[in-house]
Amino acid sequence: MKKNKRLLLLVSWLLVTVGCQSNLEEVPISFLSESNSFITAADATTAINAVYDRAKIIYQIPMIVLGDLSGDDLLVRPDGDPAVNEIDQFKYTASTNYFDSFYTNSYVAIDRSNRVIENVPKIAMDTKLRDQIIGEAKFLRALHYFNLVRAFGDVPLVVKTTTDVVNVKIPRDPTDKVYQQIIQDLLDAEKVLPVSYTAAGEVGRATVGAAKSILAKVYLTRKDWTNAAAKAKEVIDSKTYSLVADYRDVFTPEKENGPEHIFSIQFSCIQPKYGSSMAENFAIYFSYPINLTGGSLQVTDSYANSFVAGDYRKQVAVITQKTLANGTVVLSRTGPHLDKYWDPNACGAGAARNNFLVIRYADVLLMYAEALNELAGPGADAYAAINQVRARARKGVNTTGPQDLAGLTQAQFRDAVLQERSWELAGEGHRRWDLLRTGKLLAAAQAQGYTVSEKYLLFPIPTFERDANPSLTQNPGF
Amino acid sequence: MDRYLFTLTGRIDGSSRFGLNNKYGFFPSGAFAWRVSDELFLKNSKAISDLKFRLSYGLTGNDGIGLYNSLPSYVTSRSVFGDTEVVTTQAATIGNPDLRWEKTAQFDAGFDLGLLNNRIQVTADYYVKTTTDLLLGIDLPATTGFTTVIRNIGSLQNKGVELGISSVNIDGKFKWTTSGNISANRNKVTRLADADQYLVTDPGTSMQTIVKVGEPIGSFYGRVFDGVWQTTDAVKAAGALAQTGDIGGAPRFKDVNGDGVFNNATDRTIIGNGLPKFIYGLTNTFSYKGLDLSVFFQGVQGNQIFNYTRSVTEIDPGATALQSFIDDHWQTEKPSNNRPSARQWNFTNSSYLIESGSFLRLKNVSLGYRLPLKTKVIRSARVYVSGQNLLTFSKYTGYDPEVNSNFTSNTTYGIDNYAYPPSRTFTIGGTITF
Repeated sequence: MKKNKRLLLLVSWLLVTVGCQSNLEEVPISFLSESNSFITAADATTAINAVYDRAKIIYQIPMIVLGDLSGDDLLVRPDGDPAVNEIDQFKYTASTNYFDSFYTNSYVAIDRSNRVIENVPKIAMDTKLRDQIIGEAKFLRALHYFNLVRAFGDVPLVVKTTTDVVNVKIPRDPTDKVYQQIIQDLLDAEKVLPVSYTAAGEVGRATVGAAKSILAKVYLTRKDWTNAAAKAKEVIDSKTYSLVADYRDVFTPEKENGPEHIFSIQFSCIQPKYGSSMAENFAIYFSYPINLTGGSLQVTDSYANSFVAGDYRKQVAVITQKTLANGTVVLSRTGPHLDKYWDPNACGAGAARNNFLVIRYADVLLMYAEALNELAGPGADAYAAINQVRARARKGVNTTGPQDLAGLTQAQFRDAVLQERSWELAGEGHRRWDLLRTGKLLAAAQAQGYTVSEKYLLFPIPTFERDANPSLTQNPGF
Repeated sequence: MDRYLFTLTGRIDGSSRFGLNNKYGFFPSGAFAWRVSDELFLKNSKAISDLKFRLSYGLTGNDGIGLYNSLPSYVTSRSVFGDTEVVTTQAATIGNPDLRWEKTAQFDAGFDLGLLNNRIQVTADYYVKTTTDLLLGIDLPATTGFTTVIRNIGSLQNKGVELGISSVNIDGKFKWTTSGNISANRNKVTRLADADQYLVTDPGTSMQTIVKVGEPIGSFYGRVFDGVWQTTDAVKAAGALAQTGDIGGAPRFKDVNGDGVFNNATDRTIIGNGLPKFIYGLTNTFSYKGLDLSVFFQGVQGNQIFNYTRSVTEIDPGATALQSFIDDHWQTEKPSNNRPSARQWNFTNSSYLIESGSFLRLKNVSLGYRLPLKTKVIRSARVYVSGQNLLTFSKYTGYDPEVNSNFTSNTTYGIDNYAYPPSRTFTIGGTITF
C-alpha cells in the first residue's frame, strides 16, 4: 500500500512536469500573431486595409497644418490650437505637437506596408490580386516616405519589419536614397495596380493613375522635369480622368470618387467614427451656441484678395457669410473662411463625410504645365493644360474671371502656375510643398510678416523620436 | 522550545508569458529566527516579555506583464472605403522574444520586541531588495512601427527601514493606546542594459519620466520653469536664452546645460519624483466605560506631484480656467513672475506643473458608545459616528495630494491627470447583537 502510494506520487510528479513543458508554449488560437495573420486571401485584404486606415490619421488636419498652415493661404485664429499657431507663424520647435504624431503615424503606416510586402507573397491566392495588394502597399509606403522626406529631409529608410527591439537606434538615410526607394516603389506599383475599381469596398483604393500622378509629383519635386512631364502626360493620355464641370462638385460629399478624383483618403458618415474633421475645423459656424466663431482654420486676407474678379473658385472656396438650410444667414466675425469642406450632413463633432483629396486631375494638369515650362518654356501643351483649369474657373462666363494665358516668358509662366495652384488647391495640403519646390517658402513667410531663416525649410525631427533614438541627428537650427 | 526557527524553500516557476528559452525561473529562499525571549537568561525577565530576531533572504520572480507580450500581436478593427465598411488586421504590439523573469533578491533583518508584559511592542525591519532583469515598458523609436515595448532593461535597488511601535499608555477604567508606524524607502536604478537612459511617456498626459542609472525610477523629466519674461524687450535682450517668438508674459525656462542657448530638448533635467521620502501613520484610541474614540493620522513626505490638471485650469480662453488663475496671471499692467500670461500654453512638461505632494491627513475619527442595554434578547448594542478624510494639511494646489492616475505603472507614479479625489465621508451607525 505504502509502496503504491509512492509510485502514484512519482507518476503524478512526472505527469505534472511533462504537462508543464508542453503547456507553456504559447500557441496563438484566439490570439492573432504574425504566424496566423497571413493565411488566406481575405487576410491579405484586411492587412492592406489597415495600411489605408492609418493614413487617415495623417490625411486630415495634420496634413493641412503641415502642408497649408505653414504656407501663406491659410491661417489659424490665435484662439486655435497653440501648436498650429506655432507652425502657422514659423515659431515651431522640435517639441511642437504635430510633428511627433505626423512622424510616428507615417512610420506606423510604413511598418504595416512592410508587413504586407513581406508576408502576402507567402499566401496561396490569386496571383493577380496578390500582386495588386503588394502594389497598393508599395504605393502607400512611397506616399508616406514622400511626405516624410519633404517634411524632415533625411529620414531613416525602413523597408523591412522590425523584429529586434534592442538595436533600434538607426540613423537617418540621405534624401537621395529615400527618393530612390519611393520611385522604385511607385514604378513597381504602377505595373500591377488596376485602372479603376467598381466594387463597393474597393472604390478608393490605389490605382495605376494614382501611382503615376504621385510619381509625377515626386519627379517634379526632384526637378526631373522630363520624367515629371512624361508621367503627367501618361495620366492625361489615359483619358481616365477629367475636370468636373462645376468646381463646387470637386468638394461635394455626394460626388466623391468622381472623374477628377485620382486618389482620396476615404471618410464616411455611415458611422461618426468614420467621419473626417476638416468640416468642423474650417466651418464658419458651429451649431453649438457657445462658439459662434466657428472652426479656427481660416484663409488669409491676402489669399482672399488674390483672386481676379469673376473667379468662380473664390465664390466656392472663400466665404464671409453662409446661408444655412433653414435660411439663417451666418456672418463671419473673424474674416474669410474656406468653404471647401462644408458638409451640411455632418454626423457628429469632428465627423463629416469629406474625403481628403490627396491628388486630383487639376493638380496633374498644373504639374504637367509646370514641368513642360521648366523643360522648354511655355509651349502650346503647357498653355493648354493650365488654361483648361482656368476655363473651368470661369464657369461658362467668358467675359470675366481668369482668362486664357498667352505670351508669357518662362519666369512669368512659372509664377502663373504657382498662383494657379494656390487658387485651385488651397487647403488641400499642398501649399508648403509647392512653395518649397519653387524656392519661395521663406519669401512667402516674410511677406506675411513672420521672421524666418533657412532652418524653416525643414521641420525639426520630433524630440520624442530623438529621445528614443539618440542616433538621429537634428536638423540645423533646432 | 522553539528558540531557533529555520525555513528553507525552493521553487521552480514557469510562465508562458516569457520567450521560448526563458520560461522557467528558480526561486529559493531561506529564513532564520531566534526567539531570544525563550532563552533561559531572559525567560523570567519582567522588562523584556518578547524578543525575536529575524533574518531572511530569498528570490522572487515577477511575470506581471500581461499575456502574449513575447509575441508580436495582431488585432482586427474596421475601416471604410466609400460608404462600405471593411475589416482591417494590423500589428498591435511588436513582441519581444527575449522576455524573461524579473528577479528580486530580498535581504531582510529585523526584530520584534515586547516590553513590560507586551505593553510596549516594537517591530523593526531593514531590507535591501535588488531587482535584476527589471521588466519595464519603455519608449521605442517610431521607425519600428511602435512606440513602446516591454523589455528586461536593467537592475534596480530598493532599500529601506520600517518601524512600528504600539503601546498601552494608560490602562484601567480609562484606556489609551497609541500605535504608530513609519517607513522610508530609497530607490535607485543601478544598471541599464544598453543605454544611458530610457524615457517613458505617460500616455494620458505625455509627461515623460526618466529611467537613469543612479536616479530613482520614474523621475519626472522636463524643463525647469524660471519665472516669466516681463517684457518683450527683455526677451530680445536675452537673445538665445529665450525661445523664438517669446513675448512679454511667456514662461521662461532655465538653460540647464549652460551653453547660452535655451533648447526645449537639450535643456531638460530631472525635475521631481513621485516616490515619497517616507510615509507614516499614527493611531490613538481612547476608551472609558462604554465610550470609545479612535483617531487615525496618515502622512506622506517628500514626494512631488505632476499636476497636469493645471494645464487645463490655467489656460485662457476656454471655459476651464480657474478664477485664481485669471486673477493672478501676468498682464501688461499687472506683472507676475509666478504665472505666465493667459495667452501662453508652453509650460507642460516643465517644473511649472510640479508641486510638493507632502501631506498630513486626519484620515479617520470614530466615536462609539456601548449602550448599557442587556436583555434576554439583546446581548449588546452600540452606536457610533465616524468621519473619513476630515482634515488635510498640504501645500498641493490640486484636488487632493493622495493621488496616482496611473495605478499600473511604477514609472509614472505621482501624475495627477484629473484624478477623482477621495471624498470626505461621515457615517452614523448602530450595531445590535441578538
